[in-house]
Amino acid sequence: MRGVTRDCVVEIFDRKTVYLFAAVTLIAVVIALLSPKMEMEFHATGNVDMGSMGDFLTNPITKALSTYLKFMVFLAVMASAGLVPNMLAKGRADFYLSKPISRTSLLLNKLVGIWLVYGGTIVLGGILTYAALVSAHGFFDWKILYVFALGLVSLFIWLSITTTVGIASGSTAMSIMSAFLVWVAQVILYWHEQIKGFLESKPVGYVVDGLYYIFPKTGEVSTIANACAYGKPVESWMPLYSSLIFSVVLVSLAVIIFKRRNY
Amino acid sequence: MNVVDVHELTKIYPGGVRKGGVVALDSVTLAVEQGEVFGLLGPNGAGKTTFLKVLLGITQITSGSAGIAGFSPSDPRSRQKVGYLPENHRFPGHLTGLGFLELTGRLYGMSQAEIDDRTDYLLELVGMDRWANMKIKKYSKGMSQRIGLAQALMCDPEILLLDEPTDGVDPVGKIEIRQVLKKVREEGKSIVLNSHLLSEVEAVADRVAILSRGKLIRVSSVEELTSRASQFEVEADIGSNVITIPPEVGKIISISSKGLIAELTKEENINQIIDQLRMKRVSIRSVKPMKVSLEQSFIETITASKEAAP
Repeated sequence: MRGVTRDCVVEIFDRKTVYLFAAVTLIAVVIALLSPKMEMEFHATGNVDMGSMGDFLTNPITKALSTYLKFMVFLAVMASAGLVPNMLAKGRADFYLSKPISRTSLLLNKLVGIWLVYGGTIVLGGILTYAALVSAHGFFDWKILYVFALGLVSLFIWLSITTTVGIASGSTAMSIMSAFLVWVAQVILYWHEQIKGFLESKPVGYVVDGLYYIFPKTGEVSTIANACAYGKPVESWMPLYSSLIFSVVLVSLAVIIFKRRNY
Repeated sequence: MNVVDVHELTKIYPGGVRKGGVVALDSVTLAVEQGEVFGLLGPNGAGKTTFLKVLLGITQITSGSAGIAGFSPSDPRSRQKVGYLPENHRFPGHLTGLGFLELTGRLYGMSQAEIDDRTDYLLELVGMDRWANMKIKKYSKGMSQRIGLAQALMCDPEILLLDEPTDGVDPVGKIEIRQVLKKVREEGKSIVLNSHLLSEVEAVADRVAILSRGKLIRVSSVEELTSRASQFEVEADIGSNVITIPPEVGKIISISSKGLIAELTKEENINQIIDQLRMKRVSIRSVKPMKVSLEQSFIETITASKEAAP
């Protein structure tokens, strides 16, 4: 399905969002190159909480890169949210759907195309930023690949949400809003144990727990990535598995909706 | 052999009309033969576009059956040799005309060599070779329509489905598109044509179907629809001669010194008029059955169906 994927690449470049990624990467590279000076400044002023500073200094490169990737994933989700609704807009859908390809294939290729282009852009930007960090700090570790790999997994999870809502609603705004709502929900559900204790109701506790396990946990996936990069043991892989299951279920749902819809 | 075959096809869009759904197609049964140019006529909302979308699997069938190129519309193989130009299209504006045709070729699974050959030929055929490298979002309506026709022809289709192909095209462009359609027909391909321009359909179609409110009212050849077998026009130097015919033969609708128009009870009764004219030594220049335009026939059919509706 090189047609759909190549079309996706051309469309993304035409939208010029890639230039924004380049600008963000440039800023990240400049900050990375200046980072030794900033570190010295922290030490000189002493106005930083020493607990968090210690954590920060454990592996500043990993944290910096992880933060950069999270921001890039956020940008990619915003930039790509309109691609699927746009493909299925009135007058455009007819063109794609009248060709000898199944709807499942069309949708999955579009999703993979978006993931490859934005994932590739993020990885490329990440490599440049990491190279700048390495040249500034003189530290290199192959385990940093975990951060890249799980960054791509996070991107896929978010794309599965925007794609499914895009198919169901045909609206870019709804896709962006749904991604934001899931993000808010996962932040709240991260504190599910505390919420349960606060509510003191068993049935509500089960619901909160259920939602915690159902919803994606990209924040915790990032924590897993950092632990792998630090070489520390991972406490639980459940956030990664459950998030991936969530995405696969969502994409399957998107396929079912897409196959049944009239255009 | 039928390239399109639908039987008792019904399509109801959910919602609307107090939640009972909107009936777009109501038990439609028809077939299109290979090599035929088939016109679909009907007022707005008659179900013409839905009919094409059902054939392409863009819209799902509620009940009945449909087949195109020997496959069910839900099978992607049914579209392998089908070209489609949609109405009110919004082709990918980020692509150039050339890029758009290349994308179309790839979606049909064509090789790069096939795509290159076909794009060169089609860009010239539809008169878009000069604008091939311009982005579609900068095209005028007529240019979009031409490139849309080119993409519909990209797979060298056996069946061409066209929804308002000359919409927004200038008069010269319309003639050019008509010539393209005639060329496609000469190659033995089938064309299903939706158009509000009845003169356009009349010029190229072999048969037409008239749809109204989702129902199929009539299917017949253009010849049949436009001829009035019972009416004849006689060109003759009648002068001041008086011509009369008995009611059982028919009646004269109009008469002048240069000819007459008669409505006859039987086609062969024209001989009685000719005999009378010759007896009176009137010179006859021509005798021809009366014809009406497809537009007139269409209006009459639609009006009659509305009057017959409960």
